Amino acid sequence: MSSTVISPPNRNYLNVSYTVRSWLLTHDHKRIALLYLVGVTFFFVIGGLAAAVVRLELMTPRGDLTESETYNKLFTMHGITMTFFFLIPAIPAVLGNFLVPLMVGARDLAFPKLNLLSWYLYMLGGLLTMWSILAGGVDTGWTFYTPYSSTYSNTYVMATALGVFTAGFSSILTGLNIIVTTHKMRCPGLTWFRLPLFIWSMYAASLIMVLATPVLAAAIVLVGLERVLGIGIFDPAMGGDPLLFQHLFWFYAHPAVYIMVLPAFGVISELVACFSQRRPFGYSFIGFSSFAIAILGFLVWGHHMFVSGQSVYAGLIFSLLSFLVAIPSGIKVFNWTATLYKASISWETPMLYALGFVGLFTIGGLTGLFLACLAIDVHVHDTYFVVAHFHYIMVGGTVMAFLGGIHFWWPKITGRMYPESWARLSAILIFIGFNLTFFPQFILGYLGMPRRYHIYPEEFQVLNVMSSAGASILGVGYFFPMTYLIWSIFYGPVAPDNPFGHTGLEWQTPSPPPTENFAEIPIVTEEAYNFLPDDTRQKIAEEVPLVPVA
Amino acid sequence: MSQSLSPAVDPTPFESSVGSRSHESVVAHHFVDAEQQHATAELGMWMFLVTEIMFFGAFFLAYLIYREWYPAAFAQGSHHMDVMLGTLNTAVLLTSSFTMALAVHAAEHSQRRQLVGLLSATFVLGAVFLGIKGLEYYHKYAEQLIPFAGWTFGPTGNERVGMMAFFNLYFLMTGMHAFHMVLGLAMLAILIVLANSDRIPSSRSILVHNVGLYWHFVDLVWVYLFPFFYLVAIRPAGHL
Amino acid sequence: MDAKIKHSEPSLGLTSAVFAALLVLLVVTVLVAQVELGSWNFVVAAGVATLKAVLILLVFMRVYYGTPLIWLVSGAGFVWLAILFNFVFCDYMTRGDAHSPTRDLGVSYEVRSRSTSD
Repeated sequence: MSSTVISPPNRNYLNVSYTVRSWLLTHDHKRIALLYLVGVTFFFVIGGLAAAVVRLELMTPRGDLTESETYNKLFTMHGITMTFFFLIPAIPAVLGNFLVPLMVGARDLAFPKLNLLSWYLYMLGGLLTMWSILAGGVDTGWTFYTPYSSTYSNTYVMATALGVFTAGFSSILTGLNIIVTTHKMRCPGLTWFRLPLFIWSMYAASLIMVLATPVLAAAIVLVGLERVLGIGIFDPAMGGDPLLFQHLFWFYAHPAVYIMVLPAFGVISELVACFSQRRPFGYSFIGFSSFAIAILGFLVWGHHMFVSGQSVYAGLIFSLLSFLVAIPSGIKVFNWTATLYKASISWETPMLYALGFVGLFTIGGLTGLFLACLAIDVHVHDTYFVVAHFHYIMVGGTVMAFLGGIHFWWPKITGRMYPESWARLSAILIFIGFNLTFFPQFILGYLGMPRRYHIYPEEFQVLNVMSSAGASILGVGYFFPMTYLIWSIFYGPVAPDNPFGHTGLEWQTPSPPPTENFAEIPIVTEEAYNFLPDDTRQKIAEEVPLVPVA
Repeated sequence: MSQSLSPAVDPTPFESSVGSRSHESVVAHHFVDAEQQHATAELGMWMFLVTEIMFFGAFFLAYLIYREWYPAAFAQGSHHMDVMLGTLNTAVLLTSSFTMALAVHAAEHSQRRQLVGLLSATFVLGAVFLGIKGLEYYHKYAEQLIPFAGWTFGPTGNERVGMMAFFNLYFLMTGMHAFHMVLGLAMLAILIVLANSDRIPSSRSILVHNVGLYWHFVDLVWVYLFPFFYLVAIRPAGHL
Repeated sequence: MDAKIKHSEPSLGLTSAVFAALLVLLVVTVLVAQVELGSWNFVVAAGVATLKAVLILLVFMRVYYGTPLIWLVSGAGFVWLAILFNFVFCDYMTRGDAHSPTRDLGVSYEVRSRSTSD
């Protein structure tokens, strides 16, 4: 715990220069993180708007708002934008970019120019995709399944695929940068077991980005070559197998789920430790379970193909291995809970998001076990049960952690505090809105409502209206942070260096940090979670009356 | 870059180090010393090569599946390959890898003239490889063995579909390999210009080393492509 | 400056010897392909290619002289490829004849399911 004295106006990475050029050509990882924050927020809004139209359409059983073709394009647009341009870069490229060098005590990432290139590739890919949507849209679903995508679809598959391909390079470069930085740029004394858990999980997620993304690139190249040249690797008329595409796609896309959720685990580990003022229970177990998830995540992709015509034997193996992922995930949830046990918890906004995350992720994970089970999956495959399941992981998990992390590190990023009561209100709104949106979808799916249809039988209307109502609450919940966080940049109270009393390296620099991060490269002698022991803190609390920190 | 540095840190950018080759100018601001910078660059290149392995791996997977499915068609297809040209090309590429390895050695020992010569030799060999590859492509075109892009595909009979898969894979994988060769040639050209104007001191030999890693990797892919397409099955007598 | 970066590198003699070995292996693989070995032709061709690849990796690409981390990273790509190949073949090798467009998809599946229910 360092001083909470308000630092005098200092020369920091934000005020060192104000020109547009200094932002667009910056090599500073902190500025690139902010560029990414602008990017992911933009794509989140686009994807969110698509979801809003989808939910509006589903208010009634008839297809009265959009045509079937338009509806197909809408859910495709929602899926592609949210996965490739929001969920995957959200935590690694924004928080990871900002925090990894600070947490390992380095002046920058290992390859600052590649980092900037990565942002440009991301924006280029995103804008290509946006263009294809404006030009007429894509209707393949975010999964681009062949032979529909390669042979039949008359929509802008090529432009979208090229966009996703380009964004894939950006993802690879981010992952590569984080891995090399973690290996080569740690400051003296910072051994692996002194690293914050955020770094462990970012490292594991980066491994997946580097190892899996190229396979997606290969699959997309093959779809593109089939559309443009007619090289029919997936075309049965030329001896190809459409199912091979699904293997290649899910070899990437299943581990990609862990690209989205592993960084979220890292954020939650930091939040839980900080707001219970404790070393995370079972530090090394949380750390190693990240690696276990990253590796096991590569062995289970076939559970997306149980009903695709994959062999029953392969289905059996993939099913068995899918159950195993529950073990490291369970280890994490138990360890977070044990960290909270009898701790003196403080209820700032980031902690509300963290607690929301633990509950929602648990529901999402447990329903995943239903889907890993061969027989049940045949029943609920391609129903709203699946939709609800992965939204509990992606939105209840990743988005909650992203928002929690943004609030937690906002003082460090901007040097200003967010308004606490507004933030708490929207955290609660998001939690309520989220559950109202997605819990009915579990029931809908179990009753047999298939996904990707906009016309449904009358008896599903009540649950669908509940879901749409929840979505509007969720929308309001997301709108608040966008507003008050921007407000706080100009009018928020000036943040101290370490408002939440965390002991990590990133809190030992001024808020916001100077361009070179540390006046002198720190020498680390203890681990990142060097909180006072519980009984000592209790004694202090008895003697000194509690004062709210912020 | 320099505007983002505090006065406390040496503001000389990495690129403008021509002329003054002091210790500080070669090491970028965020590294402690040249050793760390060197090791970081090498690890970064290896991580990149891992992504390349996975990328090509997907195509090799498709190859193995379809070879499993159409053994007879693959044997027939490979009989249309020119083993002489293929062997020659493999030898050319292996030789270029050898000259590249020697070039790295020359760069580390500040032998500028050998470095320029060896890099140029590598470049020429790479270009020869692409030339021979182009010739082979032309032969395939003349023999009506291109199954895509609207060209007539000659082979008929039971194995026609399997042979389509074979030639699709052949053009896909050798084409992707040739594309990587072109990128490698571009990197070599830049290195030759830099080395010729004496801008690769031994302290920056990592540049040559990393391009060398890439070049060897491309060679390594070909080492598999050659037997997989040219040597699938024993040939009828006198057909070599 | 030179003294600061320690290069662990193969000698020129070893580099040349590896080059010679690669050329010899090239001749070997072409010659063996002319001998009828049945399905072993593929095994030999792939084995020789792998031997060549290992030589290139260890000497030309200097993995042999690299840190443990370089060993780990250079191996990781191949291990992950093995994962991809293994599980995909898990599917393809046990799909029966379902892939063949000339055979009835139903028949082989029927036979299989009946024999397991016995």
